[in-house]
Amino acid sequence: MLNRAVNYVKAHRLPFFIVFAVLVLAFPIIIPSNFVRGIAVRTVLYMLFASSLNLINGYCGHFSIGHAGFMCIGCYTAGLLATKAGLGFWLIVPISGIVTSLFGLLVFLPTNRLSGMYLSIVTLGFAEIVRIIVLNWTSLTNGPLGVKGIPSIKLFGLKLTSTTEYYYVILFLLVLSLFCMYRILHSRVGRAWMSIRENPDAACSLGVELAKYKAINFVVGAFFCGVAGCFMAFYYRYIDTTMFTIDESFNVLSMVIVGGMGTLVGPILGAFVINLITETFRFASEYRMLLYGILIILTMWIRPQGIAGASNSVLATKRMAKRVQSAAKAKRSEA
Amino acid sequence: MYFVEQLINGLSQGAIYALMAIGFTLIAGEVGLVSFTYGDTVMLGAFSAYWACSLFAENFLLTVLFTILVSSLMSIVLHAVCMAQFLDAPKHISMICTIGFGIILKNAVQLIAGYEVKAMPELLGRSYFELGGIRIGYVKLYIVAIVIVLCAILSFLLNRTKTGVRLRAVSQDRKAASLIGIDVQRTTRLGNLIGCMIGGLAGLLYAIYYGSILPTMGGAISMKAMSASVLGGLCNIPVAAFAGLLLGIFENFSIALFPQGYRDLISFLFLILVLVFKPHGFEFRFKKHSRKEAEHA
Repeated sequence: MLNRAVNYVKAHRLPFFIVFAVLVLAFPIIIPSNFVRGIAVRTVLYMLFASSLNLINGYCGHFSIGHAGFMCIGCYTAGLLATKAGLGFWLIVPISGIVTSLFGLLVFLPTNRLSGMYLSIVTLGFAEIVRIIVLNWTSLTNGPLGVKGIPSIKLFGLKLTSTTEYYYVILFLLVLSLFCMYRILHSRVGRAWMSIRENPDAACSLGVELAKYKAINFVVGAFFCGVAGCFMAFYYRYIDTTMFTIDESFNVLSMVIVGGMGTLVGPILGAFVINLITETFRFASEYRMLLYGILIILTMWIRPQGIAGASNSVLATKRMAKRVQSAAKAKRSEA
Repeated sequence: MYFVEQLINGLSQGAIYALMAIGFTLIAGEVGLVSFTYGDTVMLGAFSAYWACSLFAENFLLTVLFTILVSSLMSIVLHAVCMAQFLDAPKHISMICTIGFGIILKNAVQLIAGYEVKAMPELLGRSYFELGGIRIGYVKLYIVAIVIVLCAILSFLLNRTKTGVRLRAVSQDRKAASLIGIDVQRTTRLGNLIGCMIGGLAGLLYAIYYGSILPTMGGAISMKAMSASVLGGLCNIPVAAFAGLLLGIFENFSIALFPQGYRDLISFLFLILVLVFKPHGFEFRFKKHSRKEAEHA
């Protein structure tokens, strides 16, 4: 049933795409409520965050669970540059991306020889280190009071103020980033990442320099996270460290896991689903994180690669023992 | 004088960290399971101690029993949900599951107990004695004594009984272990149970030592347990315990050097430095099997 639907969509790709694009573009015009538009902006923002985490987790076999650290760096770079140095949004976007990617390299260097759980522990530690330093470095970051009064985005000298305009800005950034990611993933670099994910030893034997490509992976993933963080600072106008706790890392992580790792569509779908659930059950917002936990476990039980994850990859394998057993049984019954 | 005082504080604090590190090493190294729920296990232990205090009118023994009961129940659920299914699957699946379980645990406790800091009653009294002008609370001595007793029991269990041999066999090679008739599921469940029990007891001691507990404290705790056990290469219980002790002492001296807010930073930096310079931990002559073998399992 599902496969049929997917095949149908695949066969009629163009009309579906046009309808989808028109819907997305016209969304803020169709929807009269400013509240819903705000949700849409947040959802698209999280799509970008989740996509950047997916580059690290879904494509290179790393398992980073400290994405809030990168978000924090991107956000604070943008916030501080905007309030203290008075730079404009479009100049800060690449700067905060580059600063964040430098930190990505910084995280990678000690983890070069690590994999699996060790790497996850380090990324978790990194996120907490960043948060604690930002919280306590009062002279630069204003400590627990946060960065206030971040100016609005200017485009050709015009100040963007309404939510609709912000929606188009983040949509533009998302589409641009996705295009860049697509190009990267279909180049030598992307194929190298995927080969590392599938089997590092085999990749190494085929001439993939593990350290180099893993480093590039962290740098690129962190770059897009920094871009998203920059928009986040300009959209919220106010940032403080409580926005970057471990819960925030897990929030983005659950989007990637539920939506699907290893495909570009996956995290987008995941961010959409998770945000939809969060907003629909807003009256039960205390149970939100509980629900994320349950969703994560359910995904692992039913479909470990996520709703739209890469089904032909190592991410999709689960309960191998059972599969081997049933294969053996089938063989026996044949004999 | 100040130095000695801090050293004593550090030792008793470090004893708790050592206990946490032992529990984590047992789960991650000896049994070879991946657990990101450990910090929340300790947190649950602290909270069940807090609840038991109000239930049983601050009876220490009943509190301990209740804590053990709660953490072992939790560990059985954890094993059934996150580990039993995925023993042969790629490790990241079980890892993600335990992350999800940790989120559930943390938020469930938060919903039940509320978001604010809870004050733990002083179970072991507040009396102290003076030695050369330094006040030493009996609590600290009790804590160190409890930790030593637990370590002795555990070391007997792991090295001198069949259960210990089974645990190590499963961690080294699951397939070979099941070939010679070891029930892998049961053994991993037992290993996880012992590890979580120790974690719960560490949580109880933590609550008594600090006097205040929070549902969100699991993250920092798991960091401390992990950094101590990574120093032992995740497989070496004595080294992990020693590292926990060192960590406690480091932390207490760091308060003199850095502002209070940076205290939790020490364990993170400790961890990252260890991973940079000594990623396979220190393996002294206690060495039983290297990390590579454990990873291979």
